[in-house]
Amino acid sequence: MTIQSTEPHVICVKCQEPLKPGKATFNYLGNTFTADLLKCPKCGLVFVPEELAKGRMLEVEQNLEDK
Amino acid sequence: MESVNRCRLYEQEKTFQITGETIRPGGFELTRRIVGLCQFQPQMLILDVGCGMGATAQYLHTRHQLKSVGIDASHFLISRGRESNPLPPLMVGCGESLPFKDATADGILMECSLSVMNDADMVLSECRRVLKTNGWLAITDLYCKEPGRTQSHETSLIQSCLQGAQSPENILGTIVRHGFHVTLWEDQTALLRQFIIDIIWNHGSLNHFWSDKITGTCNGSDRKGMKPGYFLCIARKHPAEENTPKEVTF
Amino acid sequence: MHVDVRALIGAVAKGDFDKALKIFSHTIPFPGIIGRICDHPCQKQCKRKEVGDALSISALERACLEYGSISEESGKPIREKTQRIAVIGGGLSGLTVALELRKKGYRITLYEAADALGGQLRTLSPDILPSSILLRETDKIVKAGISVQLNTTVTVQDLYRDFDAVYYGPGHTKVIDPLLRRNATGSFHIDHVSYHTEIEGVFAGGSLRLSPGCISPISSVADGYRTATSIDRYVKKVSLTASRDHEAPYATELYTNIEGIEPLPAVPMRIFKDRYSRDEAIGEAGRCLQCECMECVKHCGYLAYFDQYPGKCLRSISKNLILHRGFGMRLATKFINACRLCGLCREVCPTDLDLGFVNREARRIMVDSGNMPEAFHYFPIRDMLFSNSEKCTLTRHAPNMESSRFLFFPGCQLTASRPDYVEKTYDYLRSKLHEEVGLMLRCCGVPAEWAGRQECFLEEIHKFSMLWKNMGCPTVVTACPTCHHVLKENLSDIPIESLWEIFERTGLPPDAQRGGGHVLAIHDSCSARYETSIQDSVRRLITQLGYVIEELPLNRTKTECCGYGGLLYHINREVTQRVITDRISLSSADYVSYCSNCRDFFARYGKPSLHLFDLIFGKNMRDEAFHRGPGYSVRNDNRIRLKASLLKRLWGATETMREEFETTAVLISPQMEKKMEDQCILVEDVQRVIHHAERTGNKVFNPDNGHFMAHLRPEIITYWVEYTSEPEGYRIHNAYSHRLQIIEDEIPS
Repeated sequence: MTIQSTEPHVICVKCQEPLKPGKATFNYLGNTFTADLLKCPKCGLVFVPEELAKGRMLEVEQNLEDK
Repeated sequence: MESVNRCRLYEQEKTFQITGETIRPGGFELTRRIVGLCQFQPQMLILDVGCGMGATAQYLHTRHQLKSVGIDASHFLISRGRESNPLPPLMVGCGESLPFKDATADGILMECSLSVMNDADMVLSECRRVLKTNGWLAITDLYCKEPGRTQSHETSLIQSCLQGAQSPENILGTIVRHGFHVTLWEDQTALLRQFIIDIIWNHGSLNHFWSDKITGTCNGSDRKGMKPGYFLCIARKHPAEENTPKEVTF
Repeated sequence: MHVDVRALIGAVAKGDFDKALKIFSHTIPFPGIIGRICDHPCQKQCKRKEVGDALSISALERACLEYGSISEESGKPIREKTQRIAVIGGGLSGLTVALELRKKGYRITLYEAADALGGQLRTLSPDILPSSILLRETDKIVKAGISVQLNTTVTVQDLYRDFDAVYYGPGHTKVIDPLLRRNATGSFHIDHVSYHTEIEGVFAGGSLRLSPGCISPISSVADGYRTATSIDRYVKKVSLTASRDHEAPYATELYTNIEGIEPLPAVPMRIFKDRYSRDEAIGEAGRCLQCECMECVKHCGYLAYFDQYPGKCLRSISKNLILHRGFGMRLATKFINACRLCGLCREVCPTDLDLGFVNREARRIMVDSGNMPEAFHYFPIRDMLFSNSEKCTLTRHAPNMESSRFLFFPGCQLTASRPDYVEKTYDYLRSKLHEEVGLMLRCCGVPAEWAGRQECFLEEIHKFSMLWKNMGCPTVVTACPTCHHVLKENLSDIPIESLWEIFERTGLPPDAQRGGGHVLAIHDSCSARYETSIQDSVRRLITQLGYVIEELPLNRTKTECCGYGGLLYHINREVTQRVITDRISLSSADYVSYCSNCRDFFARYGKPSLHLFDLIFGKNMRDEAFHRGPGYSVRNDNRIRLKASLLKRLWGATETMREEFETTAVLISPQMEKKMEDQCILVEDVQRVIHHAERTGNKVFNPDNGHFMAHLRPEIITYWVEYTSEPEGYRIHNAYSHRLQIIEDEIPS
């Protein structure tokens, strides 16, 4: 039961390489953590689709903003 | 045991998916540290109490040449563990009644497992009995930052670490009360944060994680308002016999 | 004994007798006895007596015994103490002292002259108190491990040396203990707070304190309970009397509004002669007012939304501030930041509790301690800083003048929403005030104050003050009630006048349209709550222009904030929706207000609303009333354009400062515009992203739809734009943002 079944197929324009899931480092409110993102294997350029920004990223933000 | 009827978070498929075979924040990072801090030598007898499928016992055996034995109350997890690996030995048993003779173990590990056991006092009493003098006790688990919150989720349907989370004072008090000398208490809440973020990231949201599509019993709203932290505690069995105060039942 | 009667009756009203019994037993040590024979002094004070009959509290407690059940208390291990306490008398007070002290671990010996426990309870008719019940209740004493000596008569003297304290509770007795007896009448002094007698370590209470023949079961229990506290303190050598004000009954300060409550008599006992049936009990419990004040919650949609009783709010807020950051406690932060800081709660509170004050302070504390996520108030603060940047600010004397007696200060919101009204007003003021009026375009800084960023706010206030001094200390003419309030509160030395009062003196432009008797419901801004002169002035002007004013139910000092106050709109759309919807439903008439944001908010949510400026300068009232108000990007443009246009027209100066990214042409459909507006993404943000992506080449391409995707984090928000290149500019297909920062290595461009 995996969620990541419909990842958009995107290419890094500079490197002409398709982006693949890779580990990215995030920072928010003094917390650092890692999670998977689509990344260019050559130059590391990342892509965040809207569903991710509005879904999981938003939930993590709200979790960390909890006081 | 009344815990049987509750939905066991640690047995759920979902939890496996994230953490692989170790169902706790931090994976082996803390285990590795524990081995270093306690200076476990090869062939020492180390018990992993609440061992799940035996991943830690396996790790201790393979990476550190320790004589590890795993004990868990879950038949399900033990049998799955045995399926994957015949060694090291895994047994069904509960922390309140360890199937070992007095003073035989060099070390006992309880990684994110004490909080799911029913009677912490009995468990620690058993740990004391089974450990050799000066033997090491290493506990990693959740603690609850919010005083007075521990009663509110007694009726939670989910049996997981969250339920048994106590305040640091309570936890330390229990450990000390059973004749242990605490050598280290470390806050590891960052690991817990990463664990929770991993859950959100891989399951779309915490709410999806909590809702069990099959039985529909696990509900995240029980945990609203909790402020969990995560800790690592190392203690040694104190040589002298401590006088426990007489207790009166009312 | 301070039984939580309100909760108990609340449970009965729901038919939950188990819960009610639990509440009762939590406080009362012998519920089986008291529930049957209590003399209920509480009923005389019940608020319900002012609207019908007092609640039959005692009968309801009896009903709990009848229809509720609780599990036997499991053994709680108590650490036994070494001290020994003697209790003389096995009546209600003695039994209570014994039980309460035993719970604390003391070793108790109870002496009873008769052959069974109960004292005067044994004289009661079995219809009232069956002997089986009495036995079951008194057995608790033995089960607790209290040593009971029946058929034993002792004096205090006998026990004095062997025990650490003694309780003397013989009930109504003709013979007072010799050690205590002081004079012929046998009376002796008992301290009314501690129950301590004149003999060290000897306490007394119970029926013996009452007139002969009087009994009060609840009084005996209360005496026993309080004496137990005293004895515990005595043994611990702690003050016997400190902090004990609220042990005995005291008058409540609670205000309960009984307006509109129908008087109802007590439910009679029809089925049994001495107790309620289940349904009767539930019916009687239904009459309970559940006394609580809730005046503020009744008047405020925000408090109602969070469903929090003010006392609880304060506790949540203080907990939020004390505990460190981590996971959990979402509610309190959201709560603190969603208050409009408008002061209505203080107005309606019988004790003047000002939750706005508390929330404002809480925000400051959170900011100062680094616990307020910057992203919460990012957008309005950014907006304020933009208004106060070079591109938008202007502080000048009138053309060809070197001094000003007045300084027109329209405020940043009016400037953004209706720059045309700013121009028209300034021109008109100059013509009426002999050109002695300067102009200042800027923001007063209130968004920083509302966000809890006190330092930032004081900086903006200071800048205003400096500019005002440089202008020769003129009288500031305010068009915005919030600016007016901010200046009054923070720069009280600066003389200020509301534009409306000036208009009354100068007269209105003669070409202003007349209202022809059209009815307008007037909405007072929350910042003008106490500005009676402004409220009056506005009303006179509106009437003068030929409109008929309808007063909304909550207006003037009791006005409700439109939703802009406290930055609510940016924090919580749901609460904003709720409070605006409630406000605009108060009248079917069109609204009129004198704050740009109030008007814009109401119009946006569907209420035809006019600003006083519309009445004075507007040409088509219908159009103005339905006009929605510009989006954020247009607002920024308006500010820049107003400055540029005025500089050129009035002062013959040109100032063009365009940044590189501003030349990026973007094509945005109306749907896209709305989506960006909803997320507070400006055209400027989109331009920056595309400019950066095109310059560095850092973009991602989706071959399925031919779109490019790029991102940039200019300040603290990361913006993503999906676009394609067209001859006239870049077509924007999507735009979204997030707060998490992705740590990326510097990518060579």
